[in-house]
Amino acid sequence: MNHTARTAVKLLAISAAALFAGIGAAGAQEPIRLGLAMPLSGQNGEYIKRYVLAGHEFAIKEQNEKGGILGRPIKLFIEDSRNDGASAVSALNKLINVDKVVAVFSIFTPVVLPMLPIAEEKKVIVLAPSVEHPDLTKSRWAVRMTPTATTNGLLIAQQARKMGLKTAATFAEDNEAIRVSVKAFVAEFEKLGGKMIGDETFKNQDTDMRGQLTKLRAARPDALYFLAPSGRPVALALKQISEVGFKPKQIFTTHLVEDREVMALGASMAEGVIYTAVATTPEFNQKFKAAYGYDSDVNAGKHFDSTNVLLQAIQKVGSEKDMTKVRDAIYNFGEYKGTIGTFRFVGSGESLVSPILKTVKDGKYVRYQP
Amino acid sequence: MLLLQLFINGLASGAIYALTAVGFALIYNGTRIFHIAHGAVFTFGGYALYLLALPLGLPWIVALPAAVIATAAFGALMDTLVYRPLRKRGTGPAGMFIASIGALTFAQATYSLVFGTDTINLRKGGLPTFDIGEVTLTAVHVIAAMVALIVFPVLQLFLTRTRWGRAIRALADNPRLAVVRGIDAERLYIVIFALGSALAGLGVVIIAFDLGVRPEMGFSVMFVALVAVIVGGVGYLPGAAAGGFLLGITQSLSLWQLSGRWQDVVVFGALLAFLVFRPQGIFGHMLVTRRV
Repeated sequence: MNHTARTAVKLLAISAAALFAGIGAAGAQEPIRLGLAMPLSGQNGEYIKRYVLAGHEFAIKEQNEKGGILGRPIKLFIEDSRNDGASAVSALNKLINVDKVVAVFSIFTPVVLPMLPIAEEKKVIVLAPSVEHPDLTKSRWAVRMTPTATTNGLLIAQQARKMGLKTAATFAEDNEAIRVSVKAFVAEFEKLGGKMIGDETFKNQDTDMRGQLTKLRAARPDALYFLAPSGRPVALALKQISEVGFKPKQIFTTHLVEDREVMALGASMAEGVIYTAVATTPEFNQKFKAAYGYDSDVNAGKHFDSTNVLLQAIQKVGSEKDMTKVRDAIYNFGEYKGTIGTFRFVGSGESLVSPILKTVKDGKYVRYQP
Repeated sequence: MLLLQLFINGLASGAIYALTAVGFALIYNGTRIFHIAHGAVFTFGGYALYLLALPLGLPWIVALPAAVIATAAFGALMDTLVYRPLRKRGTGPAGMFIASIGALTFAQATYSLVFGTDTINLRKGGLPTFDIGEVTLTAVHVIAAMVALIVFPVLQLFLTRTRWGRAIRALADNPRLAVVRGIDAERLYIVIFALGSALAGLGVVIIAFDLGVRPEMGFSVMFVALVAVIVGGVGYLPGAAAGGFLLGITQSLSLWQLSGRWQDVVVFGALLAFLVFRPQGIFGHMLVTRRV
């Protein structure tokens, strides 16, 4: 082989070595790509960024500080789904086709349900820990980590009857998941001998609910079951309930009464309200507060937990290339001790966890004791 | 009693719609501009009140009128910066409308960027309320009613008894003849925009005081105000006021028998009904002489 040929071979060998080293390095650094499609604008946007997105980012940050998963960092791609199905599908398509994510976190029934057919087709797991609509887990590519809307409605109805409340009215946002809760409440309340005497709704963007509350006031129910998907409408409703002079014997709602929007308008408005909640651990709240400067809430905990369940499943499978295996690893996770209690996955995306009842007493959120 | 309470609630919301509708109609009649960005001016007033009352800490008695004045100034500025350059280029109504949409979108996006998308509450707690028998009045009911009772007659007196008012009506009736007669149209446009925007300012400070401020708050009110102008009769200011009150009361009374989810249907239904059966509006007959 002459000198020129030897030089060419050496150069080729060096180039090949550099190329393979580069590929190796890139492969080692290639992040695990996760997506998030949630309403980051509009009435619920600030709440979602503050608690829900923060819960995911906190979990990812913690894991990355420990070296990531499988020696690789985790990267979260974020899209604003707005609060409608069409925008959610658009956001999901972008995350899957452009950002190449393997799983997507989301929230709110009208946002999540339209995503599912695409997620199933592309074999992308949709983790919607807070979505309460029972239809979510009919999909074999969805995961939930919260009591269902049905469970919450049942518990409230049973409590209302235990308290001897004979008549009830519901006031809820016109939203699929919330309608499920209302339906479950109404069915159980009537089954236990109660009588429904009012049923009003409001839209997501409504701020003046005094008309509907005036109508409910005229019906004079013993109990009012109020449902909304975020803290702002809860705060507005509690304020306007007081303004129209509506005084049912008991107001029931969800954990969103703990939202800072309610506190901003005045905690006294929520005094005595009984609500369903999932308990958060003080340890999680402490570390969340140290990182973000404010208290966490239930949704921050649930979304933090869902991130870790996914990451642990990927770790167990050894790769995110076959998401069918990762999904099955989640579905057969068994017990997961999370920030909001113990979940049990027993072969589906439905994790079993029971709500508790809490109340606002002297401005503090405490476990409800009859 | 429920009907009476719903009627009173409707009067209060109708007063807000009427103020916004009359402001819009005044601008449209005087300038021929379909000023959809009136919604952005409305929202500006809310943020002006927030800045004056909270970061600057002015007492309400100062902050409220100051916010109305600031809204008037913003409306006039919008004419100077957006519409006047287009008038100089001879832009027609379609171009003005597109520019107005652009101004509305730009303003809303700017409010979101500067103030965030969250609702800003201006005060804690519920409004003071007064019970008269079984009817409950909130401070909003009382203030909205008082504002409407004072503002509309004063506006009518201004338009019919003052030099400026007569000039505005002349410009609305026949712009070319008004200019030939020596009316300074460009100067008058600023007055029209300021006056129309002040009316929006009056409406928004009432709402902001009660429900807080958010970037898209002007859009929903603007839509109902537009329907009010059509229902009342395009080109007739008392018609716009009547349309606003009628829509507010109808929306509220619909709750007597229908669920809250039907309220938008009531507004759309009114719009469709008038467009199909009486496109000239309730007071269409007054348009023979094109009254302002």
